[in-house]
Parts: sequence; C-alpha cells; structure tokens
Amino acid sequence: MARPGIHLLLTVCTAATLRAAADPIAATDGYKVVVNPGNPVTAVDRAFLREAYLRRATDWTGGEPIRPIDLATRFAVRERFAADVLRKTPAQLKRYWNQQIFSGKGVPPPEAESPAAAVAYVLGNPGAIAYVPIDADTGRAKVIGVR
Amino acid sequence: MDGKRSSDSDVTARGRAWAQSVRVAIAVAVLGLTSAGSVFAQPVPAAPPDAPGQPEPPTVTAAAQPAVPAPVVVPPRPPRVQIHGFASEGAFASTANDYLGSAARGSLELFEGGINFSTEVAERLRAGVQLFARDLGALRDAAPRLDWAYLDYRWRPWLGLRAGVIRMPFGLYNEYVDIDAARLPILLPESVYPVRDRDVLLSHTGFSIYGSREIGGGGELEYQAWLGALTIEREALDVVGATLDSAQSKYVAGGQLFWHTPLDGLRVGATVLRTSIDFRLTLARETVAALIMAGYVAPSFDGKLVVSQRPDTLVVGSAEYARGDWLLAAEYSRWFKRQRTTLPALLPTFEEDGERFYAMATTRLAPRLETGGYYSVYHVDAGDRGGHDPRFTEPFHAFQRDLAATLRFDVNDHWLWKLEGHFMDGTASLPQLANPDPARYWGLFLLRTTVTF
Repeated sequence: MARPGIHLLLTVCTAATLRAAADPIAATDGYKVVVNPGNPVTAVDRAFLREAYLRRATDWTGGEPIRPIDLATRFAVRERFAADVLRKTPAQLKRYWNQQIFSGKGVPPPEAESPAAAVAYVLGNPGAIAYVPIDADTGRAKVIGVR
Repeated sequence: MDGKRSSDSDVTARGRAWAQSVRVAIAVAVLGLTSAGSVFAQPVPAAPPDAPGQPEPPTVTAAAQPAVPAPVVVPPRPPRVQIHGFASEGAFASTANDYLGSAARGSLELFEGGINFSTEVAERLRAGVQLFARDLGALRDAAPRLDWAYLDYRWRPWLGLRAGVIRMPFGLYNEYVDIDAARLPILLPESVYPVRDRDVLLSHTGFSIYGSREIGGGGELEYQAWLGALTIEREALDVVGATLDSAQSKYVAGGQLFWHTPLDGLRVGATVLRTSIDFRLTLARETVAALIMAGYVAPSFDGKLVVSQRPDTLVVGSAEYARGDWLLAAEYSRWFKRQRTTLPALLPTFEEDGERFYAMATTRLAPRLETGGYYSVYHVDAGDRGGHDPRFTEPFHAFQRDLAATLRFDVNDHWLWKLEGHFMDGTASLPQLANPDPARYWGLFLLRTTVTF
C-alpha cells in the first residue's frame, strides 16, 4: 500500500500531465495562437510556426497562403514568442530580417498595434495566423494548440 | 578584378554626382520614413504598452463594460509596395599604406546607400528591385546601379525560382555584404569578401532555384543553385597602360548547401562557384610602341589583347554558431584561377591557387552595444604561403593577415554607429599600383554610421 504522501504526489503529477495533454496551449510561454474560424487546423507544431513566421512556409495544408501577423515590438509577448518558437533573440531576429529585406528575399510579417488588431486581422483573412497574450480576448478567432 | 582610381575624371565626377544625389534622396527618405515610423505602422488604436518582462496589459472587452461603446479596431493592412533603404557614411584612415587606391591613406568618403521596392504580384510571386550607390575613398565611385531586380516564385518551401539580377550566394555573407546593419564588422573579412571584388561577385543575371527541407530529426537542409552571367562594370576593374573595351562573363554557375543542424543556431555548409571571363583590352599607343621596339610583337600589332580567365573556380566551406548573444563564424576558401592571353610571349599562361580563411566571434555586451573581432588570412598562392617565389618582390607581398576588432552601438532600431580597428601584417590585398613600396605592418581604422528604414 502506497504511503499517502507519495499517492498525493502521483495524483498531482497525473492531473498535471492530463491537463497539459488536453490543453495544448498550456505549454506555451504566455501566448496563444489564433487562426481564422474557417481554418480547419486545430493544432500546429512549433517548427511549422517558426517556418510560417520566418516566411519560409508558404501554404496551409489545404493550399491557403499563410498570412502571419506580428505584434509591435513593445509587447513583451513578442519577445517570448520569438524565443520559444523562432528560437531567436530580438537582435538575431532583427539581423535576419535586415538580411532578408536588403537581399530581396522577403519582408517580415506586418505588425499589429494591439492584440485586438491582430485578432481583427485574423478574422478578416482566411489564411491568417497570430499570437496574442494568453489572457487576450480572441473573440470569434479560433484558438489552436501548439505542440 | 581590382577596382582603381580612374584617370577619367568625367566618369568619376558623374559617379560622384550620382552618389551625392542618391545620398540626399536617401537621407530625405530616411528622415521622412523614420519620423513617420515603420512602414508597417497602422493608425490602429494601441493598447497600453508593456515593458519587456512586465505582464501583458489586461484586455478590456466590450462585454465587461457594456455602457462604453466598443473601440473600433482596424486590422493592419500591409502596404502593397514595401519600401526599405539604408545609408552609411563614415571615414577611414590607414597608418601606412593606401587601402583603397592611390592617395587613399585616409578619406571621409565611406558612403554606401540603397533603396528597394518590393511587392507581392500574385500569390507566392514577389517582384523587387534595389538601387545601390557607393563612394569609397579613392575607389572609383559607382553610379547607382541595379543591385538586384528579380521575380521570385516560391512554389513550395522546398522549391522556389528566381529570375533576373540575383544576389549571388557565396559563403555565409556574400548576399548581405553591403548590409551594414545586418552584421557587426564594418569590413567583412577581406580574405573571403574583398571589397574591391564586390561589384563583380555580388550578383548575376540569370536564374536560381532554392529551397529548404526538414530531414526528420536531423535538422534542415537549405540549398540554392544558379546559372547566369556576371555583370561586370568596366570601371570596376583595375587596368593600367590600356583601355578596357569590354569584360564579358561567359557564364557563372554555382551551388550552395547549408545544413542547419539539430543543435540550435549551428549551420555548416559549402559553396562552389565557377565562372569564365574574357577581358578585351586596347593597349596604350606608347605601350604598343615599346612592345614593337622590344620585339615582343610584330610591327603590325594593333594593340588589341584578350585576357581570359577560364575558369575561375571559387569554393568555400562555412560554419556559423549563434547562441544567445554570441555568434561564432569561420570560413575556409580556395580561389583557383587559370589565366591565358592572346600574347603568351608577353603574358604567359599562369594558374593561381589563392587560400583565404578567417575566424570571427561577436557578442552583445548590452541590448544596444555589441563587440567582436576576427582574424583573417589571405595567401596569394597556397603553395607558397611564405612568398619565396621571385615574383614576390618582398615575401610579405604574398600574404595578408588581418586582426580586427569592432564596437557597435545601436542608437535605436534604425540608427547605429561603429568603430573598427585593423592590425595588418602583409600587403597581398592592397592595390599594387597605388603602393609601389608598401609597409609590411600597418593599421586601418574606420568609423561609420548607418541608418535603415
């Protein structure tokens, strides 16, 4: 018979594991990812997000062009998203986009001046994808999981 | 492929006037656009900003305050045409030798500027063009020219196609060699990225295919291949005692493969580039007369000469590791050149195997302060690193070792300053005509400021 302390610990661990599995956004670092409600996607992995935000992935599985949108640099969640998903510091990201812009390879995603503006952009563009603070109101936008 | 100070003052003056015009235009554009903010900025009511590290501001919804009308939220509308630009101005001074052509021991001319326009023509299809101008000391000023201008169709992540005037990949940084804001050093290591070859090696006119592909848990492969011809401006070349009638590249072909390893921030790769160039020259009348007198050519010789570099083969192996505030990079390159002429008795066929390599480290001391340095080595002949061959009048003409250190300060996201020092041993990269009796040990110091938008 297991001692009560160990039993309690196991119960807590199991509950936390089940919660993480059922709520994929719990794994993100203070942000959640939203897409247009017409987008059938329910979850994406970080590698896909990274490719989308570095403008290297072009389409969703159904062929709709991916239209990522960034938040303005003053939002702390932008830096957390860049570290967690893009795996770049702000300086590295700036260097990357300078290289892309001035060699003609591409331009960064447009910036929204507020989470609400990012959500509005997602609602107006079928292929759009955005990240917003985890406590932001996402309205009719669809929150998807991040693996 | 060395640049030089021209004796043709008209062309130089014209280039200088163009550079000045572009400098003013870019300055005006920079002032206008930076004061207006980012081209992405939209007149959207902003949420209260939060400082980095602080919690996000809570979002107030209309439902929470039913008595207050909901704010109108306008989604961003990216501009149809994106406009970006950069302008750099600075100064340099050498302790002994003329770095960029004759009478160039120091100069307040260290200008480079560019402006580009790009747009999404259709889904996955982009078009863009960049104009570039420069004014570097006594190096012949270049009139504004098309830096790149191409159509880019990215069909899938693993396959895209570009056509037009295209930046040419070579090593880690050749595509970004004039983007001062995208790197720490003012001068990239001269061994692998010689400033006087910039105009020749920066871009080509033709096609390229490119893409990237995940390889399971093994990271990602990024690749490019290209075929075209080099665009060689006549004034980009160093010719003395003759007039350059034309410089024609028969072709340039190459490929680049980078492996982004599973270790975050580490990429390794290689680039191979091969080209063939014919230089058609007309020798000066006095040169022809001297050759006839010496019996090198027949009395009927008309002074026409073709110098063919067939082929030039450049290879480079590269490694870069970026982690946090640190960036480490190293490259090793060999440049094989085979040159022959229509006057073999005077200019015999020769082969050259240049060896070039460097190692660089940079780190960020504070959010807006970065420093670093590199050690760069160039051997004219990998088989004679010490310069024992009689063609080297001094052994140190056969090599150049460059120890460089840089300090960069970003005033804001659009404006930066750099200070750089070089301590040189050897003279292999110097323009020989401007330095008939160069000093072996010398220093070079540069100051530069750059704005981007």
